[in-house]
Amino acid sequence: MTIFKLYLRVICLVFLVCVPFTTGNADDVYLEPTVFLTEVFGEAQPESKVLWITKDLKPTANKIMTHSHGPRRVRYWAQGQRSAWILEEIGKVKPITTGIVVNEGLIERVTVLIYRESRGWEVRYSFFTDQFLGAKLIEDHELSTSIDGISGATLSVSALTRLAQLALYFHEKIKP
Amino acid sequence: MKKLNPSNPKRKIFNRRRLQFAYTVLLWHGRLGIAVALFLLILLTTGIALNHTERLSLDETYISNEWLLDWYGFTPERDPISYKTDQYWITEIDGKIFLDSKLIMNSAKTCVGALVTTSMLVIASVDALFLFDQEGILIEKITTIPGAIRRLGELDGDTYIDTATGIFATDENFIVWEPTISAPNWILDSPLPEQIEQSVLEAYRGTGLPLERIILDLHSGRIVGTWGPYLMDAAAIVLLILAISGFYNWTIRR
Repeated sequence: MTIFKLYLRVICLVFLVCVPFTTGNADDVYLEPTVFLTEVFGEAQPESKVLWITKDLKPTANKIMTHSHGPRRVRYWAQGQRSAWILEEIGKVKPITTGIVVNEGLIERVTVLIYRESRGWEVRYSFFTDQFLGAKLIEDHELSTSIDGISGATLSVSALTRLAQLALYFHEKIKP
Repeated sequence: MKKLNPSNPKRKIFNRRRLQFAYTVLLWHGRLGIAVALFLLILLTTGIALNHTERLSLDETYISNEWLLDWYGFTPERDPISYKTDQYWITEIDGKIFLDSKLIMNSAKTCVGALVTTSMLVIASVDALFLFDQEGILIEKITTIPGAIRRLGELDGDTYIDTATGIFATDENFIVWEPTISAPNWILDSPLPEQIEQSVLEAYRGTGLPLERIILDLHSGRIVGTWGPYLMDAAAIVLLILAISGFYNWTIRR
């Protein structure tokens, strides 16, 4: 009984000594969306347009995103055969803002603009985002190239992959 | 082969030392086992639960226990900021936006204004403009704004934002922002009625802490703070020692 009491005391002491620790993660703005657009189009930036996610588009968009919580309209910028999209998807609990450029049906650029999650920020690096370059949509709206994951960033990798698929799908629909 | 001689004093010493060591190992095996029993129990149960997160809906079950919410510091860091529209109260607490007491946006920055146009509910945060329909369904989140928003205003059906780079106006489609020198009616925040504040605070706490977070933090030790993971690391090392000492005891008994 004495040992048991001692054990309980030690456990209680350990818990009391440790201070409750919960932290909020600040947003990491890697590139302002407006700067991203300037980088893509230069100073002659085209006027933004909106693509409404109508009943025709919604089933496929939902299937790509694997949920139905997406916005009802999406803003984009198009010039010639190029279109730029600023899309958001939740990795684990917070949205990842991503800029995606599509040129003639192929991905030209993927850039993580704002990252808010506490883990998985490695997806911002070019060693990961460069995997998307040249990818196009194939059957079932899958990407033509397989994207290698990153340990500890599975959900962020999945979110970015879905956003790339979505941008390609939307690009098809606007036919710039 | 050298014959074993039980009367050999060297062997006796060796046996006694060996027995003493085995006894010590056995003693500490028991002590350490008792010490990490609770940690092992936590690791096992939480590990099994985490393997079935989706099936158990751990990420969709929210904690309402007051003590746990307080332990996690789930009291708003800032006072609620509220705006009154014709029909609704729009409230922002620590990045969560509520339409009356319904959570409509989980991740936003400080809210600086809210208004209702003919077709949309417009909520401005410092870094984005959110467009919702009348039921609180997101139409669009506009991040490409001319600058950080300080105020939101309205004049003759147009929406205005006051930024560090000047005042900009847009029409009901929210496509283009034009610089302007007009002076719209800037939206001011209003104190929430007590009853609505209570329901918003309940909603804030109720949607803040998923059960999965508790179980993950229990598993990693983070629930008790910065040193929690080190505590679990220590428990894991002790478990490793137990495995070795248990194997050693087993060979001795054979």
